[in-house]
This record gives sequence, structure tokens and C-alpha cells, in this order.
Amino acid sequence: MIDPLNAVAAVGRGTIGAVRGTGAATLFGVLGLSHLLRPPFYWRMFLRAFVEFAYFSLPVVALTAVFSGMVIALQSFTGFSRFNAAGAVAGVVALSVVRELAPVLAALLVSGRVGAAMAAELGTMRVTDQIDALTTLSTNPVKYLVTPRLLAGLLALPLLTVVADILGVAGGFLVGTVKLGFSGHTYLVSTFDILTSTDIIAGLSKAAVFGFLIALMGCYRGYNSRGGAEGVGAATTSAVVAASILILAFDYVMTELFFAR
Amino acid sequence: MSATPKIAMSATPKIRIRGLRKAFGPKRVLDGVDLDVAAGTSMVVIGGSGSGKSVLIKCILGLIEPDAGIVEIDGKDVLQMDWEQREQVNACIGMLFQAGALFDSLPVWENVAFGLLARHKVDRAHARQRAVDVLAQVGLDASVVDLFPSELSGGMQKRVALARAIAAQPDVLFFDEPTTGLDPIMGAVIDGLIVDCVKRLGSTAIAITHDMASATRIGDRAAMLYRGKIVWEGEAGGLLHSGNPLVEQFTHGLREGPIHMELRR
Repeated sequence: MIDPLNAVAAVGRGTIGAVRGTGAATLFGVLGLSHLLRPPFYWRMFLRAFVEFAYFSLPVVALTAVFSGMVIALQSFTGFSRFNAAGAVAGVVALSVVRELAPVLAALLVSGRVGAAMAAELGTMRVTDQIDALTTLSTNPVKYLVTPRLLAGLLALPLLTVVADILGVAGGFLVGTVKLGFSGHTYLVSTFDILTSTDIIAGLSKAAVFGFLIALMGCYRGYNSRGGAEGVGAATTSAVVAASILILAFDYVMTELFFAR
Repeated sequence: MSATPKIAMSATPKIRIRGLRKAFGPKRVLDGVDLDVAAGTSMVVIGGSGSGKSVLIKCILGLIEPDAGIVEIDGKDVLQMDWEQREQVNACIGMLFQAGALFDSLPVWENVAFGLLARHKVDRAHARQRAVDVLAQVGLDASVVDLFPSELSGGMQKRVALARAIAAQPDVLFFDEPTTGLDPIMGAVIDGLIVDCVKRLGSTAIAITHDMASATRIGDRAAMLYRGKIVWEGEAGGLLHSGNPLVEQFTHGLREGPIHMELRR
């Protein structure tokens, strides 16, 4: 028989753990960002992280964006043609991609690719004493390992999102003109007519926040991992899961901020 | 280094530890450690697995925050220092980790010159040359400088880690189980290199080990850590004939004696 007090205690422990974890991760992020204002800054580490974030993620983000744009064009055409609104396809593709799909899909993909690798790398460094070795070599581990990655995430995701925006719209354009019979000129005019600067700024702002969250979760979980290979594995998994949930939660919050009337 | 140190212990010790305590949950790992290490001497701390040797070193280095106690280096309590002050102290310290703790994303030369590069004391060209010179001191030639740690054998990794520890010519050196995982010959080679480096630099050294051969080779003095306290201290040469039943049992590897291993059946 389940003891109700035990169940309440378990809920309480879980809540306290979640609040404590949120606070610790927030402080970790603030500490990491604060080192941006205090030299030295490790540019080589930043460039390495930036290349990992932006360059090596480019193929997977590009492919996903193209196919997403194509699918949205096809789905919206089949849906809207029932209401004689097929002409809205270009606008729907543009708004969907720029406001939501490009930043969110890019972030989720980068979280699985770079966030996981980041957690695994820092976790391995933790359990093999490499982070302690940094301290003994008079190097602040947060400044050396975390700050460059946070900045790289913050700057790289918007760039990836710009690429995803262009390729997503291009995917929709391809399906719209080749398969659905839109004229290229009309499709492009509809696209540019509907997009506003707020749409683009909102998408890129979301991307910057998502990039920061991916780097934060990867670094935080990896930096604090314990217990050898199993601990590193757990840190990697939790980094991706936490980042994915945070991306979707912050997506809602930022959508409210930018678009709620 | 096997000779008795001539430095009077009444002078301010290079490292002074008083009442150092650290517990993890209910387990008291360090329970009031008192230890002095005179400048220019090598102190070997022996003790069984899990006796708190590594925790002791990590507390001195500031990697673990102790619950109570004093750790002084050159008369200054390092536990009361902020991060910047601590960084300056660490700049005069070298540490050889048990498993090397080499940065596996960096080539050998950057590992060795890491401290110099991180503190922006030298440019990369000079740092590389300095790494080549230090690697030569530990018996490694220039062919390894561009390799990555994963491409080296265990013995070579230990040498690179030793080179990294001495690259900045530190005043104080720490060695955590320097011969663990090495064959006896390679262990003796590493011990010899450690002795040479400490002599050449004139550094103060603290080594922790449970390898008795290594302890007598490296140390001027020795201390035994048991149940969180230093239970014996004396000349390293006298380790095998200390007269202390705890030390006798440990150094001779006897099953019977005052030390009881906690085994679950």
C-alpha cells in the first residue's frame, strides 16, 4: 500500500530539487556571462566552439529547413485549397519558417548534436580531472570552458537560423512553383509582402536565446557530472532533454512577448 | 633526496596544515590533519585506498573546500583567499595527477606549455620551444610534441604530465600516485625523473602514494594518514622500520594487525 505521506514527500523532494537545479543553472549561466566582462577572453576556444556550432551543424540544419519548407507548402496547399485560399501558401510558408520552424528546428537539431557533444566533453574532462588540472594551471575553468561556448551558442544559432530561413522559404518556393503551379514572381512577391521586420527579429532573437540555452545546458550538465562513464552518459542525456524542453518553453514565452495582442 | 633534510622544522614551514577536516555526508575523510612540510623537502603521505590522501591534496590545492582547518603556503592561509589571489598562488604550484589529466583536445606541446600560454607569459612560438626543452628534461624527444595524448603510452603520458607540472618552474610540486598503473621499471624511471626535477628546481614536494618503493625513492620525510589523521611522521628512509604498528602493517602489507579492512561478506 502506498503511504500518502511518502508520496507527498517525494513530490516535495522533486520540487525542491527542480528549484535548486534551476537556481544553480541560472547562477552558472550568469557566472559564465560575467567572465565576458573580465579579461582574459579565450578567443581560440570561442572560435572552436563557434565552428562546431555553426559550420558543422550547417548541413543537417540546411537539409531539415529545405524539407520543412517543402512539407509546409504541400500541407498548406492541400488544406487551404478546400477553402479557396491556396494563394496564402507562400505567406504561410514564410511566416511558419521565419517565426517558428527555422529557429526551433535548428535549435533542436543543434541541441542533439552540439549540446550532447559539449556535455560529453566537459563531463569527460570532469571525471578525468582535466577540469581540476585547469585550476592548478591558474586557469579559471568557467572562463576557459564555459564562457566561450555560451558566446558561441548565442551568436551561432542566429546565423544558422538565417540560413534555415532562406532555405526553408526556398523549399516552399520549389514545391510551390514546380509542383503546385505558382508563378515564381507571384510566390516571391507574396513572401516578401507578408514578412515584416518583427517576424525576422523575433525569429533571430529566439535563435540567440535557444543557442544560449543549448550551450548552458551542455556546459552545466557536463561541468557538474559525477561518477565516471555512467555519469557522463547521464549528463549528456539530461543536457539534451533539458535543452529541448527549455527551447520549447522559451519559444512559447517569446512568442507571447513578440506576437500576443 | 634520500638524505635527511638539513632544514630546521622550527623555521616557518613552506606548507603548514592545522586541523584540516572534511566530511562527505556521514563519512569523515579528514578528521583534523596536522602536517608541516619544510621548504625544499619532499614529503610522502602514505595510506590505504580511500584513506583521504587525494582529498588532502585537493584541499591544499583549493579543488575541494574543507569543512574546517588552516592551510598555509609561505605563511599565508590559502583557504581565505579569493579566486585572483588563489590563481597567483597556483601559478607557483605544479601538480601531477594520478591519471595524468592531460587535455586530450590539445597536442602534447600545448599541454606542456598550457600554464605559460594561459597566463599569456610567452607567445606561442616561445611556448612551443619551452615545451620541447621541458619534454627533453623528462626524456621525451621532439617527435612527440605534435602528437595527442591518446597517441602516447601510459608511461609517456605520465612523463608529459610531469613536464606540464614543472614547465612553469613551480615552488611547490604535488604528485598524486605518480607510479599507479605503471610497470615497476617505468615506475622507477618516473620516480627518478621526479627526484631530478624536484632537485633541479629546488621545489618543495608533497607526494601521495601507497607504493612503498616509490615512497622511499621520492621522499625525504613520510607521514601516514589513517582514519583521517596523521598517525605517524618521520624520515622516509625509516618507513620500513618505524616501530609504529599501523605503519609496520601497511608497509609490509600484513593482513593481521591494527588496521582492519572493511569488507562486506
